[in-house]
Amino acid sequence: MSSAVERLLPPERENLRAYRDRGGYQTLAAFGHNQDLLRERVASVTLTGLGGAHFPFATKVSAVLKTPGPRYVVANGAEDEPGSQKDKLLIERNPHVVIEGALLAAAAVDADEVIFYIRESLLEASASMADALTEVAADGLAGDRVLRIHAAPITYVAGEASAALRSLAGEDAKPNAQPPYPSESGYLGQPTLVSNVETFANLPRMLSDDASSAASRSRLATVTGDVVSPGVFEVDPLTTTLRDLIAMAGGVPGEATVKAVQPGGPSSAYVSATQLDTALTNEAIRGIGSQPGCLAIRVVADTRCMVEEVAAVAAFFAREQCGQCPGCRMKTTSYSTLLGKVVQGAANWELLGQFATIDEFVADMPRKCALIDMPTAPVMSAVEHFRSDFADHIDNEKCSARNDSQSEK
Amino acid sequence: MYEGSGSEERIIHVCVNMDCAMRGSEALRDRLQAAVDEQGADLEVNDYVCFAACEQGPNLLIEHKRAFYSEVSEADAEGIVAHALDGPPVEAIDKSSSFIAKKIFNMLDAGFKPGDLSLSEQT
Repeated sequence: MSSAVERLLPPERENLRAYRDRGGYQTLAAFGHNQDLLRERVASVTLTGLGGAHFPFATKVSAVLKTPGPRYVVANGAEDEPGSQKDKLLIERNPHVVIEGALLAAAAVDADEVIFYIRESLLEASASMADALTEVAADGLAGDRVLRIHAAPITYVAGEASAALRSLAGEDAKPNAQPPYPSESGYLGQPTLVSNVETFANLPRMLSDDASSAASRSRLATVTGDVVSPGVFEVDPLTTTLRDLIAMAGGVPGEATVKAVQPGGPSSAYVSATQLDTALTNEAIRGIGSQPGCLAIRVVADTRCMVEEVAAVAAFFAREQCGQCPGCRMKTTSYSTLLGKVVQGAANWELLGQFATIDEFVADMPRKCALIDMPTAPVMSAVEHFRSDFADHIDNEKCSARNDSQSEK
Repeated sequence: MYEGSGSEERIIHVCVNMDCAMRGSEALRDRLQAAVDEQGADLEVNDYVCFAACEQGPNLLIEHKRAFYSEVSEADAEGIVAHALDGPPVEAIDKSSSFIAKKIFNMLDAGFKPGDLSLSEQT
């Protein structure tokens, strides 16, 4: 039987007792009061940020430790990535593995307070976390540390680390230019470790490893788009391929087949159906020219037109850019406008060259976060891999979408 | 429809994105159009998507004059139209030498067609 921390998603919600019965909080018991050993283990952990940016966790911790305390830990469950549901399900089903991980991190960096930043629309997840925090308080598991929930606004940028910190400070949840990084000056101007909830959930099992810390660990992947049963799946990224994952989600409905997959959310490059035998490791996904992100995997059936598909992505970024950086507004709205013209059949091939011109225009302009870069990969990959869909709109005044497309846009 | 939409086009591109619109660019656009109509001038006034100069809007570009204006008010409309019709620039608000304007002109030199980013109905 797998231990409580070995797999992240139990079939049903586990309360403190159930989590403990399967070995939960044993890592905290083993390391929570041995800071030297804990820091040593954290420093060698092979874990990257599972919110999608994949920044090495150990590097972040060591940066936080460079600035004197008081220090803070923020467990980011804002989950603003369209299509991603894994943080929601993780907090709903296994709040204690997130708490144990965050407490391990707090012990490592001497944090006085741990804040769980949870998307405000996730009522069940917030309630699950609130109940778990009540159990932890009653049990004294957190010692003197303050543990609390902060409701994250539902906008796309609210999950960005500096935006989260502004929300905690009572401001609009919009990104701040970095540096200073949250690790230097975060919550209340103090060094703050901000990481995704799934990242923290990995600590109990990874820190309890000894020499085998490089062993394959499960990842949470969300499958949406043109599949029979969209959902969150806990997979072994070494042995599970995109094709396997689509099968787990029931496959593509009806007679349709897979046309494209976006492996890491709307900012990732589309890959074609010829690349479905790719494993779900970060390296394998990068190896086919895309980005793993938070494994918010969108499946696009061959009933769909990639021009319309990517125009919707560009419109999303134009809508969700927060308006602070002129270059970002210019680029995202320009991309969306240009693709809108292709969709309407009001474009020529030359117009597709404008994307690169726009990128060059904004290249040296200030930006407070990475959103300005996000439309490039999906748009360029769609143009590269699905040129005939663009040709239909540009040359043939038609659209490759078929009327039997039965899923949501 | 794209033939001749290079910089020889006689178009005033007025940004109507959020910042510029909040600073009155839609009223400015209407006033420019009215001035063009009154004079029967051979000019188009187009809604434009964004020049990335939001903090100094309303912004507009006279494409065939390589002229970029910022903080334009309705009262400047007649002067802008006069410049577009080969009159003198409206010096107080002429930002054609600014960093952002130079970037925009560089894009035009590289073959960028602002008409591709027009939000107005193509005529």
